[in-house]
Amino acid sequence: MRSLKILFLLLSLAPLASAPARAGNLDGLAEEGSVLFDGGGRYERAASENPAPEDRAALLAELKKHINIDDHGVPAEKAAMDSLLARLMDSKTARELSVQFIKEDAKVDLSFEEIPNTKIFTVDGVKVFRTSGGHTHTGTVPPQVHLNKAYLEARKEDAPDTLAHEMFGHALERKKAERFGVQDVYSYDQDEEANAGLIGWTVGAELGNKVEDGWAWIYMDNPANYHKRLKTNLPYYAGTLSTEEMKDPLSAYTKRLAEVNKLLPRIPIRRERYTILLKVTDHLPEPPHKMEASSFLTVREDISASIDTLPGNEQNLNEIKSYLEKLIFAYAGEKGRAKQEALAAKSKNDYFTEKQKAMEERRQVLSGLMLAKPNRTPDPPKRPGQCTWEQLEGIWDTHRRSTECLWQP
Amino acid sequence: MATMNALALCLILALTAAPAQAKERPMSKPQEKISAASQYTVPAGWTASFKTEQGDPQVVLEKDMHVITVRLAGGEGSRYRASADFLVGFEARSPGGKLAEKLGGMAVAGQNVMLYRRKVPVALPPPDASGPSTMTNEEFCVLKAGKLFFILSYSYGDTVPDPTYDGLKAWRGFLRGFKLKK
Repeated sequence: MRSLKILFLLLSLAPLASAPARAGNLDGLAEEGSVLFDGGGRYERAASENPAPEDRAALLAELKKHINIDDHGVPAEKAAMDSLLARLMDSKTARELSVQFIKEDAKVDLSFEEIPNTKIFTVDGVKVFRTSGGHTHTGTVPPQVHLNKAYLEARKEDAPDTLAHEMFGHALERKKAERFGVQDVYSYDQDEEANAGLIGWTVGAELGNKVEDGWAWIYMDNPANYHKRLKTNLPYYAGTLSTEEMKDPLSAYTKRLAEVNKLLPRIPIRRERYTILLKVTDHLPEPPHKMEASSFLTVREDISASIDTLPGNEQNLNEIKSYLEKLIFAYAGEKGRAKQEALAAKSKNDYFTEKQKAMEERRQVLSGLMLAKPNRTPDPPKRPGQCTWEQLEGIWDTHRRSTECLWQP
Repeated sequence: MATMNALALCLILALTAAPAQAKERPMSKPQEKISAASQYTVPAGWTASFKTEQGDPQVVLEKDMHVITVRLAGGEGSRYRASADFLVGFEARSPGGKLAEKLGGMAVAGQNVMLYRRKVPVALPPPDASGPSTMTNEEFCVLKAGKLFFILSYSYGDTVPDPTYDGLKAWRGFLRGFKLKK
């Protein structure tokens, strides 16, 4: 994603300007707008499986001509960014995308920035942070990629994946969208995030990182499920559409609003179920059962954690609902019909077909990488003597059918 | 006379019922395909909806967050050519890649099938953040249906189980009642 608040705002009601489609030959464009680093097959050699060091270095040098690093006057930040860019050259996918970046004559401003609410903490002796890894401002010229400054200290191995996601997934994509004349609508595409995700995950896997991102596993498991879940994750994603849905966005948003309205009533149902289970774990240590209260510690912690997530879930769903209502309003009526028609017309643009083709190829590559090195790490040790969910369900089921104790939650 | 009235009433009901059935909406393509190959009972209080996903016709049975899916795979456009492909793919693994755990054998539609369990995500952080996902279990089995195969699965969409309804019991009951059409 990662800058999608801006896109979210842009998406909300931006008029669809009609720019002529002008997909063209990449090499021709490069000759017009970019400095070729010497031609003679060097792009192909640099992007190949095992490029010679001099080709790799030449590619990096050429890529850097398209990048402006803002180090805020701190040399360590420039050094860290240079190191990340050099690391990208160890990934075949990143090299291929670097060649595309150069041929598209894309440009980007890179910097490390503070991301609000970021806290660095230690888990199992490793420094981590859990806020956004970065984002791309695609509305600026050139696009600005901001990586979380915390990468200077923590999760350093993930930083190249995030840089690839942002720079090749979002900033380069913006440039491609401009070439095809769909820069005003491409951010409506539900594949905008999935494509950047695939790039980041693939680059990470090629660099030897374990793919641990839950979104990657969902996407590889079932792309439709990935999109469905993303649409209830943040408001921006709720507004994205498949190319099929772009033909009738009003209908798509209306259906989606109905789905969100189905999810909202589940919040109080979940709260009620959690409360019942807490009462059950309060009751079981009492006579006549006299079970060990401490054996319910883990399940009680899980229930409490689940209860804590409910207000946030509810707020998020309400924000998604409001956003969808705004979109429905914007696409309704005479004025909305013009927007619908413009979006429907652009949904047929070759940009989307080419993107889907590239994504399918990348998915095949990533599939091989992820299945070649599945995570065989055993589950972390459990706290001894704890009642499992299955055991608790069994106990509760027996209790309900028994006449020995008539207590009800 | 009372008997005659009842008979007359039955006749009227039967006659009026026939045209009503004829007016029912035609089956969707996925519904046609699932219905042509299987017979099952929707558990009481559950709803059914049909779709095509991953190239396979599917029926999704739901009771709030309890979900049973019947998927007919291996046909034209399917992601899988054979059940063996499915059993080593992403959809038979937990996030991280661990293969589904074998829970044991069970008789379904006259076949001895293996019941598997894997973890599936319930909630995930926003895609740009790196927090942990919360998981629930999905149980599934694979059933041969001529050149095709059914993937039957059940999950409850929350990490904390439902104390008000035994979804697993409904699932196992569903499996026992599932039949293949020749």
